[in-house]
Amino acid sequence: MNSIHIQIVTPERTLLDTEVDSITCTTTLGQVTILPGHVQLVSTLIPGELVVRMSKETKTLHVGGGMLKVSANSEVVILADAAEHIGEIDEQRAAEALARAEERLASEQLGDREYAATTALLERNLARLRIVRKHAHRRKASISGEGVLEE
Amino acid sequence: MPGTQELTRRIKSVKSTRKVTRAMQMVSASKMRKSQSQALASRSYAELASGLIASLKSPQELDIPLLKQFPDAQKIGVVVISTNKGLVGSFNVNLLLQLKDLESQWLSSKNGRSVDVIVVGKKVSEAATRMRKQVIADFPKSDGGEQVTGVYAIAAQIVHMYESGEYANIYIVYNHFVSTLTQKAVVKQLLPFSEGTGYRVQGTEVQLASATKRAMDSGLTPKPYTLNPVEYTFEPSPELVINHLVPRILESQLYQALLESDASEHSSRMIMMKNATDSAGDLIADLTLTFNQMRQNKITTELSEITAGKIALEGQ
Repeated sequence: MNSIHIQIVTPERTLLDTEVDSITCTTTLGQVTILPGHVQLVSTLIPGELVVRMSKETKTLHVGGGMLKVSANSEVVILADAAEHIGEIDEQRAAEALARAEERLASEQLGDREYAATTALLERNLARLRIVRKHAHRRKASISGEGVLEE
Repeated sequence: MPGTQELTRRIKSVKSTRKVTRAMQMVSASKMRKSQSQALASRSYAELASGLIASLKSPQELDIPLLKQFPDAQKIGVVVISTNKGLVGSFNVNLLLQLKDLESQWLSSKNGRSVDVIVVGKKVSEAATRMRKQVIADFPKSDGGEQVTGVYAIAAQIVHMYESGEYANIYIVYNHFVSTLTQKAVVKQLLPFSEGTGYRVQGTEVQLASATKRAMDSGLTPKPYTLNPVEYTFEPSPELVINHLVPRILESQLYQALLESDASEHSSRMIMMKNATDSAGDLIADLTLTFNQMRQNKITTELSEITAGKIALEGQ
């Protein structure tokens, strides 16, 4: 039992269904890292970063809230409201969406449901931007690497 | 016997009808592909979500309205998901048959007094009014692809109904997508959560409907989940987590039903239009044959008349 089987699903698609070494994600109570043999746990996720580590590579994803379930035999299920791989995040679009959400919250009279939806949108896009900016230097490095090869 | 002119006119009209049905077939085919892949992609979410509630610890210990049961209630609620447009064969008729079945079963049981219907989509809304059902809510169905947000209002209505304690069960009736050629109208129990609620992969939905039926026959109290003895740790607290989870599961069930219904609708319409196009082709071939025979007859008659005339002239 040296690895964890993880499934990350959203209503639209399945993002990941594979064996990994560890998972780090953000729950309502803060960041948790799940290693093989973790106690059985059910928790709620807030918008934020999710990192899965495999023997050779590390994958970073954005999860926009949802549920986390760790069951026996180190099987992890993440039911995300929305999720994407880091490469799929469009920084400019996230920034625009964030600005729109901020504007709506500041100016308009919103009903309870709309307010909640807009706040959720705000948090999701904030998380997206945070993740993209945090990993920005890695992307640049890979681009310069391509340049070296060309020479 | 119609004349040749009449026949050419009919052939022309059938040809233009075929053009229309073929165009509709193409449109439905492209919509079908999209909605099918969407329905299949979200199946794993719906499945895992209902699996999650199954594995939780005894919900009776917690004060959560949606996990309570009301065996003495006299009403049931039924959500029926139909289409906005026709030309889908027996799609909507099957739904109404299932609804009728469910209704007669409930009304003949000991507590059964009345059945409240929630309709989604124009077709069933019209039919329900015609059949004088008690329609308590009528939700529009979007034609351009389903969004998760579309089910929030329906879910809120169901939660509100169930929490009032007047309803013993809430069911959903929709067309389950099995394959492009087969769609099956199914009845599924939404609330209270029971084994019948659990989402099953394709092929077993017949069983699923009959499981619900069997449960209904035996006094209308479906067996609650046999609870997993293994305890889960809840963070931050069981109440918070389950309160967050239960509406999600309801929403995902509804969303999945909408997607399945969408996929079934487009598949069924595609097949209907394909049949129409094919039979238009048959009809055209048939009419053309008659037309040619008639024309040939006319030519033969004319020729023999000319020859007869010629022979008569030569004889003089």
